[in-house]
Amino acid sequence: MSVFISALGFGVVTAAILAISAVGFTLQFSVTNVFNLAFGSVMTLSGFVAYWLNQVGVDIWLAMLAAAICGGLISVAINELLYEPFIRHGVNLFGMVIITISVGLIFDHGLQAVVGPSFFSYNAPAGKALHFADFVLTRQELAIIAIAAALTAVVQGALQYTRLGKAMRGLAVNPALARACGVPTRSVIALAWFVSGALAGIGGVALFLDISTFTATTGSEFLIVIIAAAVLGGVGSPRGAVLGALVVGVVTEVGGAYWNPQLKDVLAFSVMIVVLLVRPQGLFAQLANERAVAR
Amino acid sequence: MPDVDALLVVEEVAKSFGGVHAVDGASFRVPRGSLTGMIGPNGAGKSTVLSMIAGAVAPDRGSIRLDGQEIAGLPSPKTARRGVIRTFQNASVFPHMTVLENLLLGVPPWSGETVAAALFRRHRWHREEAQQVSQARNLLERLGISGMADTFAGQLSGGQKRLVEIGRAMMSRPKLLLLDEPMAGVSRTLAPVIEALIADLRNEGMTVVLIEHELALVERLCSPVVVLAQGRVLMQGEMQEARANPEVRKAYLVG
Repeated sequence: MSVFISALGFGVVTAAILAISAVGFTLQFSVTNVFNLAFGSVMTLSGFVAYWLNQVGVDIWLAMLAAAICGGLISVAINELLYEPFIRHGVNLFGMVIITISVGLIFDHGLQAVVGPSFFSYNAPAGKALHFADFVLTRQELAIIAIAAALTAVVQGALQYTRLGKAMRGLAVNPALARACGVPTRSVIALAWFVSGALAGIGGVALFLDISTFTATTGSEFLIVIIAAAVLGGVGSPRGAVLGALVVGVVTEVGGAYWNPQLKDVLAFSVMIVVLLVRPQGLFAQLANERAVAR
Repeated sequence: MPDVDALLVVEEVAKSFGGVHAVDGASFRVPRGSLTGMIGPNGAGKSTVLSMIAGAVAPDRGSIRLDGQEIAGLPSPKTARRGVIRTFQNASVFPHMTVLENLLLGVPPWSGETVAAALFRRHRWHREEAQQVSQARNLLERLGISGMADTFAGQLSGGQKRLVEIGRAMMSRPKLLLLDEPMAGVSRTLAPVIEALIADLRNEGMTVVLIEHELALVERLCSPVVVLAQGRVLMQGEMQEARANPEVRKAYLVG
């Protein structure tokens, strides 16, 4: 029983990190229709920004904030400088996927060329372990869960209730109509990239804290699981991404504890495939088909 | 026609798509407070002209002045904020939002819609939003679809979507309303409702440009009419004159 309970604890922490990242991934996708496979690289790059700051003595939570800002800026820059020119030339959804993979590879290997193929760790104490019945979580883990809960609630609330959120949702389905309503689509798209990158930054630092050692490709390796969570929830739905993160996080950690930790990714995708067999549109489906890249 | 009472002046605008001259030097005026009809055979360039006025398509050359100010080439979010609001040939709504949300998205100004404003000026924001919600509800009442405020717009019939679309356009109280075939896809029961609505807008003094295929409808509603054929303006005047004009007759027979 205690194996199950402690694995469940890890599962919730993994789910929290997944939720932050998957919401960022899916939010940007839902607004711009670019399936951005360089997302993991933004996580890693921002994670390293936090690492460098941490090395010179900056507190890790402050470094996380800096990573969020950097992640946002990197993400906006990637879109403006690398993706936009292709989108303007009318590259379709599938072509954009290939381009995002390339950008991710270039970033990962560029970073590896700079930092080398070694392992890195933050200098951050995990804090006192807190016991809740059989649940054992460190303060650091609790902080990550709290941050995930707060961020996902803010994003969901903003999309649902603010006019800006409505503009984002409108832009996702009908850019021409959104523009005709006076929505400044360029700024809204830039904002979506910024928020997505900021969440990638926070998710990246949280991930690196959780797994304690990381390399120049850790973010991209984790992206596979993020996509499983996002697709499971119904790509384009932040609510779904949170639910998908919970399912994937808990199943992989609990399954990994009983079975073989090496097989976490296998579990993540098995869950995803089983759910998609029953419900092809994902748990929370919206606007699934006939999409074009938003401009 | 004197310049003073023209809200919109279009001069020598042209647009080609891959060598095809969709619009080839069209000039006309939209008098302030008029319901101007735009007619012409298929492929005459009516929708392209409308898209250029709305900023969705940038003209290759020519000038479009709204209240004396050049708007040619401005992107559509900017023309929308200057009060030029359009509807689309295919009734366009945001299908995954409610009817009420669709109307609320039609309200400018978007300039106040920043994260900072949402966080720090919440009182003003809430007050504005409350006003807009009540304006939208009144409008839905007027359109006869108040019972559908919380229905997802994607579930409506073609005619109901059209009402929502026109309602969305009316929310911003536009200076110039551009209607691209508002009767397309509308059932026979709703067509008279939409016609009456357009007539009301005219009577209230809104300036409207209406693209329409059915000439009888144009004759009932519009004065003046602009006749386009092959990307050029054949004439601008009253519908009776258009009917009598041999060039117009020829264009319709050929087109």
